[in-house]
Amino acid sequence: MKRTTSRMIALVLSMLLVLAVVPAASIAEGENQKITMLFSAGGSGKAIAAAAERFTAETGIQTEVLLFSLNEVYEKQILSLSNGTNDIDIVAINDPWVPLMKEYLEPLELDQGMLDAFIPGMLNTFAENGVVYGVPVRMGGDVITYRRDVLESLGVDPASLKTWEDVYQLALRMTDKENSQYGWSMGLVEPSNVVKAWYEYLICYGGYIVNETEDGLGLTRPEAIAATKMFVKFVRDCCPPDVLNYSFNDQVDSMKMGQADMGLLWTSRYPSVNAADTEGYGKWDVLPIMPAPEDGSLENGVACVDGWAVGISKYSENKEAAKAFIEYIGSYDEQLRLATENSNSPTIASIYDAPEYLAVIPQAENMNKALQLATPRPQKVYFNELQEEIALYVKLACLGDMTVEDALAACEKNCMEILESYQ
Amino acid sequence: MRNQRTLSDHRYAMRYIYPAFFMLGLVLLLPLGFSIVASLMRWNLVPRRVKWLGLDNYIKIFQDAEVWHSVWLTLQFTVLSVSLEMLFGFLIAMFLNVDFRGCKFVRVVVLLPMMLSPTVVALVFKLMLNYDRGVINEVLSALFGRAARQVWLGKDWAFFSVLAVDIWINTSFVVLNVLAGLQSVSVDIMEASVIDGANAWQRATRITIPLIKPVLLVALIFRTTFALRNFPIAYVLTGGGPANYTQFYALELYKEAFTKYNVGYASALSWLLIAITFCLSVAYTKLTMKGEK
Repeated sequence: MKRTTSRMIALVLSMLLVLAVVPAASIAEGENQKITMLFSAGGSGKAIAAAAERFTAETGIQTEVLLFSLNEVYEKQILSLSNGTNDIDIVAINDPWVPLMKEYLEPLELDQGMLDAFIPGMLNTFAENGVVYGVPVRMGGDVITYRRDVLESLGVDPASLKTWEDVYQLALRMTDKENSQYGWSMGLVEPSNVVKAWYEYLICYGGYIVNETEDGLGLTRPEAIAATKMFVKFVRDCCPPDVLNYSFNDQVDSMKMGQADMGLLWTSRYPSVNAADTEGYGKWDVLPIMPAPEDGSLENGVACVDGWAVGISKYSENKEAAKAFIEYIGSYDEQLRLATENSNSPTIASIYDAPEYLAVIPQAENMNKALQLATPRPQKVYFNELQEEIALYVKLACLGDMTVEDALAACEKNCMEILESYQ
Repeated sequence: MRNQRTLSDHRYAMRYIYPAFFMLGLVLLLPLGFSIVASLMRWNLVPRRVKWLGLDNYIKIFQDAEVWHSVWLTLQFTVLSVSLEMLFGFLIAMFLNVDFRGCKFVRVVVLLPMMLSPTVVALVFKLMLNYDRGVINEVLSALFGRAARQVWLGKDWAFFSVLAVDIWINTSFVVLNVLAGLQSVSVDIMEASVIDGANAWQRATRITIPLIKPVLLVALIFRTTFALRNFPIAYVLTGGGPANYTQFYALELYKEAFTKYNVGYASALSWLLIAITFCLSVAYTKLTMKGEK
């Protein structure tokens, strides 16, 4: 009996020893300067992973980049940060997440010269009241990307595309559904995807989601209805039939494989579409403007700028190493390298004029022009919830289950409830 | 004296079981208890908001049209997938129970889908179901012309596409269970029934099914509970869409928990799922036991 008791005590002691060793091992890891970050898989993740590899090679600081889908990055980061755990050092911040995450982020104290180099609109997206929470590392905007040769064969001058109706008519001419040929492609599967694309139309028509005082919505205003009707026309008439299920990868595939000759494409994905091993290589061009509404109420459309920044977790135990990484990835040299080698849209203004960059992306000039008036998505703490509702009703309108007017009215009602719950 | 010895043995044995009980309590009962408390609160992770609500979350469930839409879809899905999987699983198992040349190889092939990750399977099917580039539409085009192509992940077919993939993956689980049951059926009984003049239908319905009923019940309960919690296939294949056409209950729960970070409401939803699953399991067991009595 005594022997059994001794064994039990030994067992409990061994378990306690294991529990004691695990945190000790974590501390030892910290001493070896290892930083961990999560990032969205795909082009963004590849670019960040490449930068992390170079950073490790140059500084000896280990970096671990864990890649997940955008939704999972959000979910895992929020869970980790809201629980106050220190397993993430670098926080990946997508532009609408700023209000949700800022309380978990360390204010960045960076050299003023470095901050001044960024495109102000991009940097300000991740700053509030002069406090910078993240450094933009991969940002771009949705621009109209088209096959130059197809336009030439149709006798269309790109400069004649002034309004969304002009673009729609062109897309319609390019579409031959019987032969799987489409005039337009977008990535719409996730709620964030569909709202991002729809929002592009909305702001071009002069619409908005939430008013400035945050006590009203603009979803049933004439601009929103006109923009949504145009969006629905594009989806129904010019896109692949299963476009509502298209991820961004599907969109890129449809364009580079020659099934879609035009589309609303994020600038950072341009090199993936203009791939060297495809028939369309060198034939893809970018419209230097965003179209205006056809009623002449506005002279120009506006692009939506969006993308990623990196910040430091308030709970990180490797803040110095994390800051070193941020300074590295935000530097001119690394941004240029990412732009030329990893198809990154630069966040530093002067790179758009760099000969090295223009040699790789000759369309950079047009992209820059199209993004000049660019504006970010609403940065509201409740945006994610609104996004779910908007995505649902815009898709219902696209599927023909509801008229645009009914869908937006129902959507506004639900969104208003969300808005009120935050007041 | 003997009773005392038995009691002492029991106490001795229990010392080895207590750690397991402790661990079970830690990883199962504690979170379950925690989620009950959470379900009685308004608990948002971001922005952080915590407030005691009592039963309001449960009342809200009954007023939430989206939740009931997802419950209805899930019930339809469960009835269709479980009944078809049980039917196909039983028929395939009957076929595999017969010795023929290469039967071992066929058994392995039939059981393969069960060993694959549902996420990977869903990703592969997503490629196959693509309207323009998917192999299924290519084959249909080649056989019946372009008009035969379908938007498999569109509103008319998305539900059935998810259902088909689920059946493809999970029928093998039923096959495995039923096959194990069939192999335990005594050959003597079957031979005696043949001598008594029972035909194949009578042998199947009067002898085989009653004898393997416990195995069928296990397969039925497992498949029902899994189908009710159906998540990875729909999440990867359609993400609940288009619109809400494949928004099953588990996806709705996920949305509340991980998109809206509404932990309290999501906990209440998860308790509803537990209640439904528990009721169905009890009902199945009672029905079977009733037959046996």
